[in-house]
Parts: sequence; structure tokens; C-alpha cells
Amino acid sequence: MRPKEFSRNSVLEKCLTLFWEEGYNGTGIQEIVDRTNVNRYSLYEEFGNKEGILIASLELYKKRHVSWELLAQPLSIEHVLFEFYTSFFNPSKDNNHPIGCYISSMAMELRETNVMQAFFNAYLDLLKDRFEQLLKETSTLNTSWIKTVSQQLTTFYCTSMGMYVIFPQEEAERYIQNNLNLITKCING
Amino acid sequence: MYKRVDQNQLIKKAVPIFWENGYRAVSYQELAEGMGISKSFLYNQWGKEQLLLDSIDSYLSENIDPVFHFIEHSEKGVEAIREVYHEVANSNFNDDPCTCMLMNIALELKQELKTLSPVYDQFLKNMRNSYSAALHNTYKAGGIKDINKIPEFVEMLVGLMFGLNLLLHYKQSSELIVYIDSFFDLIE
Repeated sequence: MRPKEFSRNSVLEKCLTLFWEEGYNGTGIQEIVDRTNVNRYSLYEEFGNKEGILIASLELYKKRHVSWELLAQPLSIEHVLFEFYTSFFNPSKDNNHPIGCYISSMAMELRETNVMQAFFNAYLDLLKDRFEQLLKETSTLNTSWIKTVSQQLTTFYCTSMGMYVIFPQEEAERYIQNNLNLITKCING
Repeated sequence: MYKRVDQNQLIKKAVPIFWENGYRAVSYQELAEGMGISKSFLYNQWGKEQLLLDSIDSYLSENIDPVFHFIEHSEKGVEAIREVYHEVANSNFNDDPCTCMLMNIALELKQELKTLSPVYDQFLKNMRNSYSAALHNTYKAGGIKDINKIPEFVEMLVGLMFGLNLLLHYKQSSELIVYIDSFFDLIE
């Protein structure tokens, strides 16, 4: 089989689910081969190594599964944020992902690694930029407040993604609502 | 052969092993070596799952309960909680695994280990109770206007610890202190 005879993204989707369910360290290359039906040689040809698969799967998740479009809805800011945060608790039915955020899960498991340090910090910066943009468009806050609030929203993102593990969905949603009310109170004066 | 008191000493030796490595990645071999006992004794006496539960108990009573006790009884109220959060942000990875053992284990095992749920519920209850007591002290001293807001502030602070547990690995202490303070500023 020639290396390119598989769909890169569908292979990555399978790897993503595998890493998420079993943990990155808990997944061997043989399991990846079994799950994707792509042989080792082709996988290495395409992605370099297991870490290359990880990075590509994280990129794919960021692009395809984070519901960025929710941040662009013409609704009140509390509403927009609530829908964005809780979207991670309601994964779409077409993919059988666990609940939560794949990137945060990997960030927790691979916290000592350089590769995750770079990727997760860049992801947090991206979140912060998006929150800043949202606040600029929908609030009258001054620049320094926008910085503070978007940082709080980013920190709270990490909190929420840890919370899903412990609390049942209903409780987690109530929790998110409660915190967003506190954080966004200053926006509405 | 081993008396009760010796068992507690043995469990204390298992705590740092689970704390640093999580549950799945730890083998019987590593545990037995770390505890200075034979694998078969470990197997017969505890099993890995029971040893984990006993280790968590030991961790909570040695490392966590004193912190909750301090927060609950401090006259500084919410400032006592802030002190603890700053201390967490400043902790040094070289000396200590420093993030919460129980949170790490819960994140790793999620719904798999049902026996963990009651332990977790109790931990959260103790956390909330001590924070609530501290915030009531602050209310009495005039630092909080509306007593009905206290439960919301408690939930915010509980959540903040979960966020910190992850961010600790990715952000500098000085940056974390700024985040922490910005959340404490919401309490009024």
C-alpha cells in the first residue's frame, strides 16, 4: 500500500479517540496500527513518530472539534460563553468522544513534556485572544479590564475542563453558570 | 507479622509513588520496592486498588485535612485561603509533586474506579465547609456585603483550585499569583 492511500484526517480521528480513551502513554503503536488499519511504515512516513501523530491529532481537534463558531453568536456575552464552555460536555453524536476537552486531557497527562508545554501554552493564548476579541466587540470595557477578564475566562476554562470529571453534567453546568455570572458581572457594570 | 502501626508506615511510603506516577503506570514491583516489602505480601495484604484507597486516606489526613483545619479556624477568613493558593502557586516541582494527588488520580481514573466517588465527595464537602467558614468570618468582619453570595464564592474558589492544578504545570508562579488575585478580587 502506498503511504498516501489513506485519509489523513480519518486516521487522526481514530488516533485521537484512542489517545483520549486509553491515554497517550497507555497506547502502543500496535494498537494504533490495529485501530487505523494503516501499517507502521505508512504511519511513520506520514507523521514521523508517535509524537507526530499526537501533534497532528491535537491540531485536528483544535480546528475541527472546538466549537469556535459559538463565540461568534449574536447573543449576550454570558449566553455565548455558557454555550461555548458547555459544548465540551455535549460532544456531537457522530464522534464518540469522551466528554471534556482533548487538549486539556493530554495537557494533564503529558504535563512534563516539552511538546505539550509548547502546544498547550499556544492553545491557552489562542483562547485568550478569542475571549479578548469577544469582549472588544460586545463590551465597553477598557483595555486593561479586557485583559484581566479574558485571562480569568482562560483560567476558568481550565477549571471547567477539570470539573467535568468529578461532577455530573447538571451540576457542572450550574457551576459554570455561577462562575460566569461572577466573572462577567463587571462587564455589565 | 506486621502490626497496625507498621501498616500505616508502609502506606505512607506508597503515597509518593502514586502521587508522582498516577495509578496505571505504577507496577506491583515498584510499589513493593518502594515500600520495602515483597510483591506477594503486597498482593495478599492489599492489592493495588486497596493500597491506592489507603494511600489517599493517608494523604488526606496528613496533607489536606490540616490545611482545611487552618482555613476553617483562621481569623484571617478569606485571606487564609488566598495564602494557601499563593503557596500552591509558589510550590517547587523539584521538592514535591505539589499538585493534588486526589485530583490527579480522579482525572486519570475518571468513572472507572467507583470506590473513589465517596472519597471524592467527602473531600469536596470538607473543602466547601472550610471555605464557607472562612468566608463567614470575612462577612462578620465586614469584608463581604451579602451573606447570600457566600455559596457562589465558595464554588468559585473550589473551581479555581481545579484550574490551578493544571495551570501549575504550564505557567510561572508570578503569573499564577496574578490570576489567583484577580479571582479573589471578585469577592466583595
